Amino acid sequence: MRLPWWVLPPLVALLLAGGSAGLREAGVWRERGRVLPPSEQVAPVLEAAPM
Amino acid sequence: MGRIRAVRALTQGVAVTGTAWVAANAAYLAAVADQTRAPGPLLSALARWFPFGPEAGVLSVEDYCPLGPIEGAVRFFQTWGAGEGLSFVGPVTLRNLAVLLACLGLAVVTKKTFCSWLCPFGALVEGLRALGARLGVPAWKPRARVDRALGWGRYLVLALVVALTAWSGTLVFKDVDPFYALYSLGSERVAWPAYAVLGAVLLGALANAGVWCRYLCPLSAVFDPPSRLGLIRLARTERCVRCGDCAAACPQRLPVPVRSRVTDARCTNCLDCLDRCPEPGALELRLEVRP
Repeated sequence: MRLPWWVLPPLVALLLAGGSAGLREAGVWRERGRVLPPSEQVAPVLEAAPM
Repeated sequence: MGRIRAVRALTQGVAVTGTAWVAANAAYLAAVADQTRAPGPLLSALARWFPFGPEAGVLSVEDYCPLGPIEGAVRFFQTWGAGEGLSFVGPVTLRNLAVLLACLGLAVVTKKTFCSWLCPFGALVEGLRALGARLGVPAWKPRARVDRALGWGRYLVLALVVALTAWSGTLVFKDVDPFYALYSLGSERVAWPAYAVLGAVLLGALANAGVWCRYLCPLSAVFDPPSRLGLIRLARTERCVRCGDCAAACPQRLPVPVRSRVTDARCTNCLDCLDRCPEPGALELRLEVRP
């Protein structure tokens, strides 16, 4: 089947984002971020950080 | 620059920006967590415009790297085979495995489009070669035989990385990985050999964009087998006048004018050949379910 070239960019984005998100929805991976040790947790420090 | 190349450049720009944002977020949080140093003026300025902070997730580029599960493949299959569940080396998680599986799936459908449309490092070296050409740096184009021999370097690097990771139990590639050196933006401890490789690759890219991607990148070697199956590939039609412009444009140096289908594993579907082709309809993209 012949495809126009402009199909490729959205297809690439869709497959990669959809594939990764699909695996997450399927429960393959769930965690949001790396779990930092308490000494490295940054939330209280952020309040004082220059923004 | 043709229309297709312009769209690809835009896509690569989005990939580079996204990766840089993840890296900058990790660097900012690392600087804030380390109370002995401030985030620095650049990161602080960026933090005004981008949602840095824990709500964005404490993720670095390493957390999205699809190579991690491959590096620790021996340990992964050993523990899996022994019924001990899934086990990764170092900071690699199921997220990395999900990204790897998505990339492999992408290669089965659209060949190595990750390399030419999405890879933030590939985009950079391509840009550097364009800069090199503008600055008058002569292109380094080794003879076909040498080029083919150098292409095996990717498999050698991949084999070494997997073997040494299995032997040492640590992600040894990090110490020489130019991608990691560049996109950690100083937020991680990067070994000096990684900076040395980065410098050499960036310098080499001024003369040849493929120094890393075609001769050394282990991830490119990983994508070769699924890419060979790639369902969306270029086909040459009877309208072809065999001018050879497609072969001259191909960054992989594939002999497009003598193929009816470009099924070669090295094809990244960058579509530079299609962009350069002077004969409308001579080259077309096709979805075909056959090897």
